[in-house]
Amino acid sequence: MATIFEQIQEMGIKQTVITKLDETVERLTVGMNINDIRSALRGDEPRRPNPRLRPHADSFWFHIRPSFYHTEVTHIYPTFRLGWLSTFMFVWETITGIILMVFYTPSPLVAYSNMWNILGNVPLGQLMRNMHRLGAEVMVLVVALHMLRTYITGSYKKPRQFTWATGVILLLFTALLSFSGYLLPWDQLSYWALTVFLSGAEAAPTPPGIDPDVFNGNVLLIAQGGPALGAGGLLRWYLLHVLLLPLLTGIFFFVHYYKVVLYGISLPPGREEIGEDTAKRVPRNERTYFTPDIATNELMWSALTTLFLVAGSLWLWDAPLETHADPVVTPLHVVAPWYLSWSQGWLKLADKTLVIGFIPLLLVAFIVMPYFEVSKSRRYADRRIALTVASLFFTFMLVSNWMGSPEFRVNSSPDREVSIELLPEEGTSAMLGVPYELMPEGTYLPAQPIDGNPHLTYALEEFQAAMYRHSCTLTGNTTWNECSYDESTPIETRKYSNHFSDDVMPDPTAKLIVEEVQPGLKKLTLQYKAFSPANPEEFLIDAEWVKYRHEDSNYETECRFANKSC
Amino acid sequence: MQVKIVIGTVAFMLTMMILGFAVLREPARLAQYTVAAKGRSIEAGAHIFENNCATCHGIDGDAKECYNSAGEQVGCQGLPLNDYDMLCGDPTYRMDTLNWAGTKEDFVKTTIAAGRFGTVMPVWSEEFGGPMRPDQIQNVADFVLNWESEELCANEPVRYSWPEAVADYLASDDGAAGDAANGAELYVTYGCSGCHGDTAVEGSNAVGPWLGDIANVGATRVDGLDAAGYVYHSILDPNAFISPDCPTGPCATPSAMPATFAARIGSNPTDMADLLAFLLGN
Amino acid sequence: MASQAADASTVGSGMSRREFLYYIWGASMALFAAQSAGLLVWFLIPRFREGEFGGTFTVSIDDLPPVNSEPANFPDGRFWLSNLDTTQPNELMYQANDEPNPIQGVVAIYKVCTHLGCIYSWTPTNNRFECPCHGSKYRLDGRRVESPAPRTLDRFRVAAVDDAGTVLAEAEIIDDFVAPLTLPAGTTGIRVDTGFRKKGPSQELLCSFFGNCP
Repeated sequence: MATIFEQIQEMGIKQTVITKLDETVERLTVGMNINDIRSALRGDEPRRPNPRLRPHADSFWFHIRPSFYHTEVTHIYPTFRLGWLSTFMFVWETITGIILMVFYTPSPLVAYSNMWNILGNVPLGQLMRNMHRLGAEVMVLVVALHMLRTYITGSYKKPRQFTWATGVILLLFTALLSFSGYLLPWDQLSYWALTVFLSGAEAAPTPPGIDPDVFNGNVLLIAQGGPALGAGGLLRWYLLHVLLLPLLTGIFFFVHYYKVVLYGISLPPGREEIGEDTAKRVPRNERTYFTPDIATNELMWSALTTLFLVAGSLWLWDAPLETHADPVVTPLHVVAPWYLSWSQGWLKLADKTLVIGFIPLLLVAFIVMPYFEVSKSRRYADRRIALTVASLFFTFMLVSNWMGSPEFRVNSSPDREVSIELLPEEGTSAMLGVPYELMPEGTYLPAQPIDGNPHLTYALEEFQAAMYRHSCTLTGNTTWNECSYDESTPIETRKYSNHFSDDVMPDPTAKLIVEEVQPGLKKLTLQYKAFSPANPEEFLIDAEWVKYRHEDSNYETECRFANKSC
Repeated sequence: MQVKIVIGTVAFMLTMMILGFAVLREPARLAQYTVAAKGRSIEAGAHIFENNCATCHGIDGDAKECYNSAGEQVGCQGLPLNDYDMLCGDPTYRMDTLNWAGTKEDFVKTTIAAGRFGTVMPVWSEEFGGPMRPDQIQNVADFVLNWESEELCANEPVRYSWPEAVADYLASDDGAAGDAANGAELYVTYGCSGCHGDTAVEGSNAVGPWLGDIANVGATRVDGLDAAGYVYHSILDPNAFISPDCPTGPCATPSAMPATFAARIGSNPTDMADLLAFLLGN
Repeated sequence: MASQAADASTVGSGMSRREFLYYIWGASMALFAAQSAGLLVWFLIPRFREGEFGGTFTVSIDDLPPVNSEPANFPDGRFWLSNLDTTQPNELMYQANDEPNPIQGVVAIYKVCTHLGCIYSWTPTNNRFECPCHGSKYRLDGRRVESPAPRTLDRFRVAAVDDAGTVLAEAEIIDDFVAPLTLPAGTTGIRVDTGFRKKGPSQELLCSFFGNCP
């Protein structure tokens, strides 16, 4: 071996440097020198033996990826890039998550103020949080769609049954990852969503011979870290979210992907027989090589997805942050995250032990399905029953989702419903979104026009509209519904204490009172009064709802995303 | 292939521009969210204050208008918070008198969390057996400190230093001429009658001892003090002596009587002479 | 595939000592894993010290709400106190068709909804407990008016005590549920044992009697 000095003497300094550089590059890429890379970038045919294949045999990162794909699967159909996108989202969530961890402590004492610190004191902190949160929602959606696609194209069939099984488990982990992160902001939204979720799990059926109270009680204790969610529970869910679940997801991802590479991505239904090995016997003219074609393609999609996620986090939506978690006050109308909305719908349909027992059964059914569904064709025309079942199930899930959504919610008393619409405990509304200086002190009536103040006028119109929705009339006022009132019904057969068949206020009066109680702090009071039809001296409803509004509270900005014209 | 390269490049460039835009607006956004966090904390504090604190400190925090849970007006037992001594200056007057060396915010938070030993102010923090979480204490502190305004702090109140002995007070210009008729009016306007009842009707006292006979009874209570001295010191410091004559037996310790009269009467010191003349004249 | 690899002669032949030892070793590994899992569960179950929620709370008789009026909230002990008497019914408390005997006395109701663990509260304008999460509704004594709750609200055992702390009467347990306690004369306080909780039975919904269930 010539020393470097001999080389310099022989070739001159310039040539020696070039040679050394070339060698270094070849070592780093495990087989491709500068000329090989440039030829790949230029799009030339590779030399023989093909240096672009060597990294797939010898390098760690490239050996995970196949050296070529069947050209049929490189188009948008049939994969829609959903599997790749799921992986991209997992990496995306890992990176944004680790960055957020820098500013987060999993303790009820500081977790919530950490969130405000991220929003108000960390440069681009809100963007980072939005990216993580938006990414989580996108990931759940993408993984679910990936599963749907796999079912529709029949790709779960032999020999890919096990790939499908690991995929179902990955879907479960994705939902759990997303949900376990839900608790971390420690606000009312997260606290009660998780409490509802865990109490549901408490009703799970137990193996025969085991007392469900003891068994589920202890499961709940382990999951909550105490009799109710607290410091222990937050730490447990944080560890699940940042450690255990990502680890398990990673492990199952590699098993899943190993099988994908082993059997190849399934060709479109018409192009592949069941059990055919299309991964290894790809005709030369139907091969698309990883370097440079697939790599370029993936890089382009990475660029586009990044663009979407960054832009979406900036303009589409802000991750919500409600008030501090309060273990003794449940806010009105707790909602599950949208991807669990179906389970809320189911809970309205059947007994919760039944529902909670059904969910794991469904998962097992999904996992073993390919081993039982052994029809011999992947063509759509031959799978009419399977596709019908799929669309029925899909429709059922959509309906369940709708049933679990807030539109299907159960109402509280009418005055409280109006109050919640106008001055909600959490988030913003038409009335809270009125700029502070445009809310002068005084008493206002519903639908009272305020000259030169469109914001307050609009809020008062909303006030009127909300009152109409929850009122009725006994005096023939045509804008309201007639009250169905029967004084003679005995006490115990009345649904509502107010003698009405509907939960409404009869001919109510309402007003909004605005007082400035401190510099920069206004007290907004909604007052409702309705007289008892039986006794005009007595108030049937005499209620009040108070919400404070600070000058700097920023409800106007929140309005931007709440799809409300505040 | 070339199209993909162009799309990828354009996408990255657009992302960079978007991030650049985000960076440009970031300082303004950060400032906005920093004050928003404070604003929401004050809102939460206002709710807690209304439900827990206003009974003793008054609905406007000035210890003037207090209502019990049934909605009846009662005497305010707490000190005024919406008050110069509480909020203005650094250190404030009250921090000075208590030798508090920390910050104003810590003073307020500590007082809420641990209560004030020896007064009716209870502990509020969960840590010491109260009902509130640390974030709620922070909310209330933010709300209380939000009363500080230029208007409130523009004029320092005149502080009257009460003489040690009642004789010295009565000998001073302020105490020389007591007007019993005016004292009878003050007895109502200062809110004394709310708890001590009508001095003409024995048994009309709701919470505190009846004062119709205090001219005689007062002289017997404490060795070395005449009735005037007993009343004088009891008004200035309700905990100086605890009367055995409340409607339900001996009065509670610490006294339920507001500790604010020394300061309130101090802004108009002749009122003390009028009150003494009224009470002792009966 | 495994069945293809193991040819018939291997399957058929007897077990060697070495193979047997491997199986024993495997079984011991499985047992060890099971034991570790059990210990891990023990490790993860939180333990409680005395004096936390789960102990007794004594409430003065002055804080007890009047008969058939709005219940009193005790956040520390996580219960509501209701004072019931169906012999003088009103909108808050009344006797339903399937309740043969009058309901009289004091009950301490656990303040967690039996549906999904939310904290319900008393809604004065509707004269009943209402859960903000999914709209379960309960009568003053905790019996369901409307679902989705699966059963009546849970109750703690109450006892009537006098000034000296002597127990004058204790709530009876009827059908594995805490019956309302009628306070004997001389009662000055009510002691609620939050460590003694009985789950509410699945009685019929009150709204079903009136045909006005949603």
